[in-house]
Amino acid sequence: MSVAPTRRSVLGTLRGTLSPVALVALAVVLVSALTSCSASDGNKRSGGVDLATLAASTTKAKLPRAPRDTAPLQATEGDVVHPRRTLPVHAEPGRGAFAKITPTQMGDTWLPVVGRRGEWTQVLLPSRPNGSTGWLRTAQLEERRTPYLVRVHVGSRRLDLLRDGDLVGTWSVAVGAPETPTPVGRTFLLGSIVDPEQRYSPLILPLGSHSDTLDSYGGGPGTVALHGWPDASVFGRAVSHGCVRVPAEALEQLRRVPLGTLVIVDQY
Amino acid sequence: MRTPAKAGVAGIAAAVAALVVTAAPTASGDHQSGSSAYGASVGGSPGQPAVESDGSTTQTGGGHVPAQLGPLVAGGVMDLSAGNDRATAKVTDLTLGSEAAKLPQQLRDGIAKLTQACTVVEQAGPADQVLEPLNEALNQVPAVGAVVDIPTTAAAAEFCTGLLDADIVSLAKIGTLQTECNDQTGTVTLTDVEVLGAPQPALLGEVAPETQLLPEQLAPVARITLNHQTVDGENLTVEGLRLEVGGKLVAVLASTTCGGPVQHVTEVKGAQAPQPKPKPKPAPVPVPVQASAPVTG
Repeated sequence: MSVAPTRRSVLGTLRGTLSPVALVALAVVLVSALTSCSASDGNKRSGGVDLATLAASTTKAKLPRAPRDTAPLQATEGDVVHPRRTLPVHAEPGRGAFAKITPTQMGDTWLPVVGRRGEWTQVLLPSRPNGSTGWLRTAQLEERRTPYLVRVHVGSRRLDLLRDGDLVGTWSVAVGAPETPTPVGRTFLLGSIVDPEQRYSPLILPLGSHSDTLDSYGGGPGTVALHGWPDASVFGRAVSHGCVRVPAEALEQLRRVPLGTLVIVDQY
Repeated sequence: MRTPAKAGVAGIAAAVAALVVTAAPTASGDHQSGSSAYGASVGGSPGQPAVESDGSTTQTGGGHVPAQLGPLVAGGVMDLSAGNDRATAKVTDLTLGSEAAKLPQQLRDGIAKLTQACTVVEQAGPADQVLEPLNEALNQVPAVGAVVDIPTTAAAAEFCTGLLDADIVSLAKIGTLQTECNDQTGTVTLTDVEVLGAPQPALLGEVAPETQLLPEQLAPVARITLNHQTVDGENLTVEGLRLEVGGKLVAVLASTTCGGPVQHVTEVKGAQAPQPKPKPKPAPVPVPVQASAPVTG
């Protein structure tokens, strides 16, 4: 069987019956529970860390205290991890937490492993600044492995897709214009999104990285993505605002690549 | 090859009232895999009552909801079973949100002001004298102002009528919450669900994995997940109801694991070098979600 959780909400059915009074009741009971539980054992789960006070590491967050990736062009074995619940993110194993990571953000959260130390796992984070990393307790993670690796060569404006180290596809792509370059370094596939408000691509694959020259774009935080483009004349050119525009054939291959897969962007 | 279960839920049974454990042989088979089940876990502590089987026999047990769950969960009779790669955990007559809850002072004050504001609404005062005090009172009930807004006098009247009719500290009743795992398949089934006294037919029968019970707006306050499934190596764990409050795990009700519990590494003197870590399972193929994605284009 497939045990990949399919997220479903009963809100569609409950919204019709959940009156404001019901919402008040829910809040009252749950706040009451929080008060009573926190007095007894609420802190045990996170080693004394109050998760409510920590910023969530999402594509919208800025985490200046996050340690930076020290090997930004290095491939890994492909290990990816999924936090089973909201977890504190630490700057070093055993040190204080500077952020938290949630099990879902753009669908389920999957992060690439870039380091191990004892019972701790270092992952790339989807927040600014680019190359942000953090340490999580391994025991609180679901571990999987992706056979894929995506390489984007800004200089030659090509994207390579590798599986188990073998090249399965290479395409001419559009990269960031000189004034809005695609940031280089190691990032990852953060989400797989169908945006009904966008017509340029049937699928958008946001990455963990952000434009270094645009603090925001189109109402978002300047998130870089892989996506299609209706005008094939852009491929092979540096014309985007930082995203990597790929041909339809490439997008079709990339849609099957697991979230958390490394995307290594270099200058070559 | 599945991971066989090892005995190791020691000390749990003794803490549970009315726990009864019996054993019966399972049907014979070439491959036996363990399983386990527990009724309730509070704040990440070991579940209780609990049963565990190495697959050779079927273990059954039962008990009551732990008293530590206090104002949140009351009542509840548990029946547990664990056998050859199959386990069930059933909780009956469960009440979420107890009438006996001792509310914090801040909540009591907030509700008192809310009730006071509603008396103005009943007197059919002018809109500006009705809505502002009412919404102000809502904002003083912790976590409520962010999710409830009363925009019109008609909505105010409806809200206040509902407030007077409902017992807002008795949240929901569940006739039966049953969790089952069978090899790598997990199901959660509900019967007789009422929220604030109103039957909820949409929540009867089998519940889809990862069903969120609470409105999204309440997520910063709490999440109640029905049928939460996780895979750890060869083991599938299915949690019937999982409650997180303020980002912290508060309780899990009716949990089953098939394939045996998570193996713990034990250091043995003179042991050989540890075996290399097994290669993780393949990562899942993503399922696109519909959302707004303002990326850099």
